[in-house]
Amino acid sequence: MISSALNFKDKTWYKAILIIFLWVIGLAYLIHQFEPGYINALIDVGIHTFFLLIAFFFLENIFRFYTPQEKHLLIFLAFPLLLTTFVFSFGKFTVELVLNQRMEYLKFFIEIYLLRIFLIFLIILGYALLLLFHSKLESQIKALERSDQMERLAKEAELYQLRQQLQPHFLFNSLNSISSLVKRKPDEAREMVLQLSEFLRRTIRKENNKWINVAEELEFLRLFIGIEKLRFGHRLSVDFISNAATDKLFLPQLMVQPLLENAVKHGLYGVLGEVLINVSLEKEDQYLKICISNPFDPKAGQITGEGFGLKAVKRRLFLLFGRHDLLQVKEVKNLFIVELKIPQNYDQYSNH
Amino acid sequence: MINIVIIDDEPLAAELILEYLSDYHQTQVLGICHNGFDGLKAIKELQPDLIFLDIQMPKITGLEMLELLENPPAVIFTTAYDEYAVKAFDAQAIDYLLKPFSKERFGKAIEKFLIMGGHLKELKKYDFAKMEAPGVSERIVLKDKNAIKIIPFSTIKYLEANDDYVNIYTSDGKFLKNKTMKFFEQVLDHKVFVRVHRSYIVKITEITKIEGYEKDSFLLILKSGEKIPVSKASYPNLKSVLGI
Repeated sequence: MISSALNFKDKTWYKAILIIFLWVIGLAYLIHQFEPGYINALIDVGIHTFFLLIAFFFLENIFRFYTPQEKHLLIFLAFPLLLTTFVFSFGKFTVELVLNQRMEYLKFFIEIYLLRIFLIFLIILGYALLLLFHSKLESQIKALERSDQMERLAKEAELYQLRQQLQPHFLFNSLNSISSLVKRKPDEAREMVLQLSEFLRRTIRKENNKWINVAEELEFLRLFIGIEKLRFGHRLSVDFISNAATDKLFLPQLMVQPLLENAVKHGLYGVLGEVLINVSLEKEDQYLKICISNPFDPKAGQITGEGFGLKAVKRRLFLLFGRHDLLQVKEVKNLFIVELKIPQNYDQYSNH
Repeated sequence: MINIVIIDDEPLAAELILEYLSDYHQTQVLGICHNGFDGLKAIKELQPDLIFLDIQMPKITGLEMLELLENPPAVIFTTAYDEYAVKAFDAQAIDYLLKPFSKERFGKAIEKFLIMGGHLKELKKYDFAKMEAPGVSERIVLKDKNAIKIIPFSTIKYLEANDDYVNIYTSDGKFLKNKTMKFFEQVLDHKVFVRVHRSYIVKITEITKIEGYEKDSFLLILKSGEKIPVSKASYPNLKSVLGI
């Protein structure tokens, strides 16, 4: 602490000087009450303060390399005791040297030497305790910072993972479709390869922490639907409803696509015949509200594993906004409706 | 001539099989279906020797469709899901093609059918009743008269053993399924259902009362009024499940 106080780049050094100054004046005044003579008292206090500061300096450097544990009480006490001896002996020697003409003061000095030793010891001990407390606090703060950082890293990794959750069967089935087209309809096969590539490129984009605007997201969703339509043909149709107001709103990437994929899957595997999916976007207060509905059969039991898309999106929403209420699911007659709300007043970059 | 039906909900996937088959002159494709219901109908009417079957399909899966057949033909599964692989082999499939598959791989499957297929008809009858694959689905598909019924586990009130079958009592009535009690004990959630007797599994929330019945034996009274016997052996378990 002395070293940091004496660090001249900081402005704390003048505070230290002030404290030392007040300490010297105050102590000298106190001594003056018992043995009149300000000069003598000031010299005495000045000399002892000088040696005390040296002792502090030593103590601090010792503790920097070796911090005694609580159980090693004797070692902890040994340093202040040693330094007390040093301060008292050097102090006594110097005072006797400087004030050798003032016998009365020296007599007073000898009279209270036990009190002096005790006081010096208390002061050094106090400083040692302060140092110990300070180093503990510092290590605690460091540990806290570390765990904070760990948490952030884990969060980022999880977010990354959740974004990367590409349903592999989508990929394999699409590749199978291409394999089917390649000989009979090579142009369509190439078209599908291009669409699939563009889709994949967007899902593995590097800067995918960035939010994108609705127009860009819709383009991506249409790409995805284009591929699904090639696979399922006339059975699948998707309506997008958006307006000029929503086109300028922003949302995190790959948030809607898993929901749409879920809706497509639920729709195609949940009912026979044609499947109409509705995707509507609107601005509601400070939110971008996205509704996706698909037909389903409420009487049929769910096949497990289908809820994964929903769960992953819920988790991501919680990691991003710390809220559980942004994704709602409801069933209205034969429609399964997912409602997603993206806060627009949220700082998009604060998370990373 | 080998008669074939292709069942896949993706037209392009079915067309690919058709294309690969065009090199095998001893085969003839009788029909292409895009869901399990049409598949059932086609198998019944056309009596194919071999079917190519996708697993994930509308309403009922390929596996659920197979369960509904009394004399299923030889099956080659074609799917992008490999989590079903073990299950499919349990169902004694000829082969299992992971999409996308090559012409060579497809050829091997056909060869396998030619070697195994003939024997299959004489020797093996599919025994789906003994098929044990817990945990994958939360519903059961069965035939009720001539309709196909999908029963989510959540609607089941209790089950009763009936020789090689199980009577399933639901809020919609009683159904018969050719599975064992052991199968149901494995697939049903133990937090929701409890086995109370060699012949009975009961949904816990359906139980309203336990009555003493002679000494050491008990009767469960269900919400709907039915009385179910509790065996001595399962009484301690029942007590712990109900927390009494």
